[in-house]
Amino acid sequence: MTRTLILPRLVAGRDFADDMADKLGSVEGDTVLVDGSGLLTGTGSFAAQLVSRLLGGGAAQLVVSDAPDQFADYLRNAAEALGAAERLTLQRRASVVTA
Amino acid sequence: MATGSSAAASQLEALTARWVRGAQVVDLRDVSWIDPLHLVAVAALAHACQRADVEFRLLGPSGPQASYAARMRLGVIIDKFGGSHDLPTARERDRHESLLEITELTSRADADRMAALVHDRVYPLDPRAAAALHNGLAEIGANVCDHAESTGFMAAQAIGRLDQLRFAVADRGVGLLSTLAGRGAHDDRSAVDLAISGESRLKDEDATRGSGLPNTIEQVAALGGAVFIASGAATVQLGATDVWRCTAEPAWEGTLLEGRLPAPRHALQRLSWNED
Repeated sequence: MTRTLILPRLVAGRDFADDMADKLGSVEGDTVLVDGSGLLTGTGSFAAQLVSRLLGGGAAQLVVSDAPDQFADYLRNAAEALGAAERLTLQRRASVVTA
Repeated sequence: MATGSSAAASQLEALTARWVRGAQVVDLRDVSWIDPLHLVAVAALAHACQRADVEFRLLGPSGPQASYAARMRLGVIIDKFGGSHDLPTARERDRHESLLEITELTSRADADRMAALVHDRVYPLDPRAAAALHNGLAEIGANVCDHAESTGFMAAQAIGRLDQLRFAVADRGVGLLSTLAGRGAHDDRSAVDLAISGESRLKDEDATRGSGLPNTIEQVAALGGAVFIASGAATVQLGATDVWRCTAEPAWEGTLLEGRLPAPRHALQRLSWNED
């Protein structure tokens, strides 16, 4: 199953990441699409917690589109720390970059 | 790595609280320029004194700096915690318009809210600085709420004459050593070094943790700014290429952080909270 999250213009904190992940419920085996096109900036802690909840929660794939470069780096670092980099894909409008 | 003093470290000396007739007294009468670092540190001291059932008194600053400190709610904060001061009474700005006064952090939501407000204030003028301010305030504020075991305070300021944005967060809590002892830290210096490296054994519990402070430092430094941290007897100032370490005298019980970002003057002049 494919699930979708849309990031607001600002994201910060592990609590907020938990709130967003909670809205999806279990993501075991799912592909989660995260729309970052509206995001202006977000903290590394939010990115880390989101990755922890989604990839750590068993999502088969986490695809994040059009996130700001800094935030994309945070996501990539968090996925690598979890040993789940191969399940994170960072998309830009004209290209696809697998973490 | 260089060792030596930094401007922020010397500011700690002005924040020395002395015992005078049973009260803790901070004397800023000779301080010619009030920074966010002064504001949050004094707020944290006043709060700590209330917790300890000790009288707190602030002397000075004077002149325009006193008016500025009052507008930044320092007098209100001290009053709230039962301390005394000689700051003038300031007509408080509507918080929606001026969102950089001293803010008490009682929850992560407080930190996130302040960070978002500052971001929105700065973003039209300098998106990169706005992002650095947002992320720094949110991350450091969250750290205070998670680890300090005490109420923290944050403030931010534009300084037109120096082409800088500055933000500061302070608490009189348990300090970095208490948080990181048993996780690789054995004294204040090693605790600060661990915190800025992000390599504490907090990562043993969750590999994604411990990066908030290093990310803040990296983001500020990438813009040509610097971050100053004091915790216990250790201080460090980190810029893009330099690291300054020295011993805090006196030691700061708790944790104190100031970030400084360059900002173009023409942008700062458009901010009504530019105190020049």
